[in-house]
Amino acid sequence: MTTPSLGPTGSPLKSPYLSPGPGRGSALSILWRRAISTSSVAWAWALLIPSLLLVLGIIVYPLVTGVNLSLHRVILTRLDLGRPFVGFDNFLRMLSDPVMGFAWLNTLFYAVVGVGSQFVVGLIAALLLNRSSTRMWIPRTILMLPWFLPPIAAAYMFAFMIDPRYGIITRVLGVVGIDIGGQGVLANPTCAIWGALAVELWRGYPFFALFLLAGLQAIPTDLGEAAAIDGANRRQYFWHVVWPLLRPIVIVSTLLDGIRLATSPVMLLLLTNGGPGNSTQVVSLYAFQQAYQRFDFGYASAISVALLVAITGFAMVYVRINSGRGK
Amino acid sequence: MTQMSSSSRTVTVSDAGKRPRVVGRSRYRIMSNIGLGILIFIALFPVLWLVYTSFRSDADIIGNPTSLIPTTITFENYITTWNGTNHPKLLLNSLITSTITVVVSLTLATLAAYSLSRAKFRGKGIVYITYLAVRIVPGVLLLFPLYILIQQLGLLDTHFALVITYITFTLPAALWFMKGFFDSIPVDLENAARVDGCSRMGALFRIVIPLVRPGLAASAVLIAIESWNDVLFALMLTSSDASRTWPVGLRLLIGDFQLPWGQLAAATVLSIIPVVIGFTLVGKAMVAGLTAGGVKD
Repeated sequence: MTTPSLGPTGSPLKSPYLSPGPGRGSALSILWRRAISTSSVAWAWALLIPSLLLVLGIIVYPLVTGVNLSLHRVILTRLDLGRPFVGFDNFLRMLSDPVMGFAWLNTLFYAVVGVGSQFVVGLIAALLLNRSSTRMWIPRTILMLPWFLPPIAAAYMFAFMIDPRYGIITRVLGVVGIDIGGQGVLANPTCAIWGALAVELWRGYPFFALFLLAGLQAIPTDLGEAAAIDGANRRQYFWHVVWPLLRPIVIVSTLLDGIRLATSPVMLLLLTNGGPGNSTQVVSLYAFQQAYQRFDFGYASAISVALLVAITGFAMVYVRINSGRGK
Repeated sequence: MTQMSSSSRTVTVSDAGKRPRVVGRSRYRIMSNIGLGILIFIALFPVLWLVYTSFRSDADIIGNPTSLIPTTITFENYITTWNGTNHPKLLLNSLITSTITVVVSLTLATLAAYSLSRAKFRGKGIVYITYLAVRIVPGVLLLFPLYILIQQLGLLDTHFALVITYITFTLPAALWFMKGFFDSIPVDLENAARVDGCSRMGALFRIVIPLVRPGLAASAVLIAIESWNDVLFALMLTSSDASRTWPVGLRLLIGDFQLPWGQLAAATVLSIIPVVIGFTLVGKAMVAGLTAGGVKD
């Protein structure tokens, strides 16, 4: 190697001088400036530390307390029993709980179908919205509207609209000739989960549309021109130029949406509360019910810890697989 | 600004000689307009129904739920919501909380994401996954302990408690997205700037940040929506109108037996308006073709 200056950090360039910024500033700002410009690693940590301290400062204590709760029996309505340490009893209880196995499968189904459907619709929306006309802000804003509704409003609104007696959607479908049955979509064990997924799709696709649109807009336009000159058709341009550049955003958005669907019970809580007959029961909702409907915080915490471990493992595998193929 | 709209036109011009290509293009344009129309209908219909419901009386809503012609048009729902639930104060609380959250969260996330995108150092992977893990922790696990923490700090029922909570959960998402956007910007651009005498931070703010503007806008919207619409943490950490945000007010509107449909709809419509205005402003930053002519190999 003739260029030892590259060093183990691999930084291709090192600034040999301090930046000629305005003024001298305080001692702190001189230190800061030195930190971010002299060493190739120090600047990276200087940018990371503020956010890391803030996030960890808030999360560590509640997280440790929560994990600690999972090792105790804590029933809020029976505080006279104390908070005995029970070791892994809460976790063992999960294994023999007949609802849990089904809830795990449902969680996987809910997250995978939810992410898949929202991603596809979001990508189509992003491609359709990616025009350079200045008037595009109108359809852009309209397509984002479902996301602006809080889950609580979206859930009640849809519950109202698909109500078997009062709902406008029920009536429109009836006119077209589709009968959703006297009990309604959400009261039918086989299609309740599809009803909830439809509401999730309606409210969730704009998330993908927004970020994929931002990703599409970050793609240099001369690539499109170059591809057109080389005779690539629209499909070839998409798969060979756009898709690879979009990949980082695709990975992050699918991951974050999957995490949201698997850990947030809000929509199912409001629409079905796990019913009818546990047919829409998912792990996050079950934990929520144990905590706030049965006040069994020990068991609820244990379920949450198990969910945290499972999703973190899943996320690490997902990121590892995808970062291996990229670049 | 003129070169911004050049992409589609250039393709057309360079292909103008080949007739089939131009035909294919216009057919694509028609198809995409139809697709856009369908999506707009699906997105808009429930929202319009919500707006429509907000102008009906509860008796009318219950009596003729699917009627397209209301017996009366009333502003009563808006008046009751505005005066009865202290809605203006709740909206102001939401506005304060969300704005601070967006500014702080996006700034810190962007700096950290740039660091993770460009630097190579030991422990980077762990730091990266740590942020994600924060996002994965189920709310149920945290709600109760977080309440105790905030209580011990004496911060219950303050804007500050909500802001730091929201930053904790929105920052990791913004960070992961911004890293994705930084990763897609060629390093050559900054290297060129630094050869020309720009400092590392100078290159970040003068060269890289303008290029990831669409990503910044999208992340800002994500943070804003998550903090604006949160009800789980707000319900627990606020106890009076001093810091209560509007979704909590919405939740408290809902009684045990009868849903006040009209008021619920009116409150929702009132609270979407600021989001629509905000999005329209931020959306201006989302313009295609920012990196046109950036790198020539």
